[in-house]
Amino acid sequence: MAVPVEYYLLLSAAVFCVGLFGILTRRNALMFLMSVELMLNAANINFVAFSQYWGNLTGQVFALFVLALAAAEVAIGIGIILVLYRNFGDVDVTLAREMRW
Amino acid sequence: MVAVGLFTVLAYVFWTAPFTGRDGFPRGFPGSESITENIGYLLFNLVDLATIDGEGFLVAFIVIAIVLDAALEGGVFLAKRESEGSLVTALRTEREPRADGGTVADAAGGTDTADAAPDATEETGTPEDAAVTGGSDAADPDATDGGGSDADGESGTDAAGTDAADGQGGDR
Repeated sequence: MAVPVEYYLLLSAAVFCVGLFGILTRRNALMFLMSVELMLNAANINFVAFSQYWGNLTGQVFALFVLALAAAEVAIGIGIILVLYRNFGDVDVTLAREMRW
Repeated sequence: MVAVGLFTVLAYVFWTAPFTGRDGFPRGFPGSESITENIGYLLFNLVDLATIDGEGFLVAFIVIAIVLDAALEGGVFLAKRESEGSLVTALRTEREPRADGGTVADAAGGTDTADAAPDATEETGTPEDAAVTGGSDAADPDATDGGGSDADGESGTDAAGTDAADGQGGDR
């Protein structure tokens, strides 16, 4: 007996809201990155759950692409955090108020 | 508060949506078929060979490959830094000669040319700021020492530059 799709959706909503909470409350850039990853993986849970629901593999393949996109985003994000720390001595996202300094 | 409210709304919508009442759902996958094998077929547009429903993703596969390549380039670009006038980047690995006789590898490792001024530059992280601060403060010890020997004046200049740079690093 398969797990009903509602449970997957509830789990996905919980993970997404945890990520949203992290983005809205944290000032650490690394926490920002982790929160964005949580939100992306919440979307992945939905993709895989509905892939099983419909018996179609498109959702699983799309989840793979989202993972690859998340990896690219993390690469750029950590590079930006590196520059942020080098220029401000901290990873607080509120310190950088301009696009260039 | 916003996150909790959003979760409440989402949970209500998901729980009241008619997912389980539909006939034939969830469809699931046939147990005899390999899901990984079918994903491989779909990634390369071999939809005819796939035994589970899906669509081709070859274009998306190539686009994601280009995006990952661009992210790699962006990461290397953001990670490069300037140290004592030379560029320190992951794209240079061979020992290239510099104008002052050192090499790029020496500047990165800091083995041969490690004296007071480069240390201060590395601590502050911004070579321009350290040079400007050290230069402005270095004039004071020379003016106060006055008749000191050249060796004393130079050591006083280095010490002042290092202290100024350290203080700036501490402020940050």
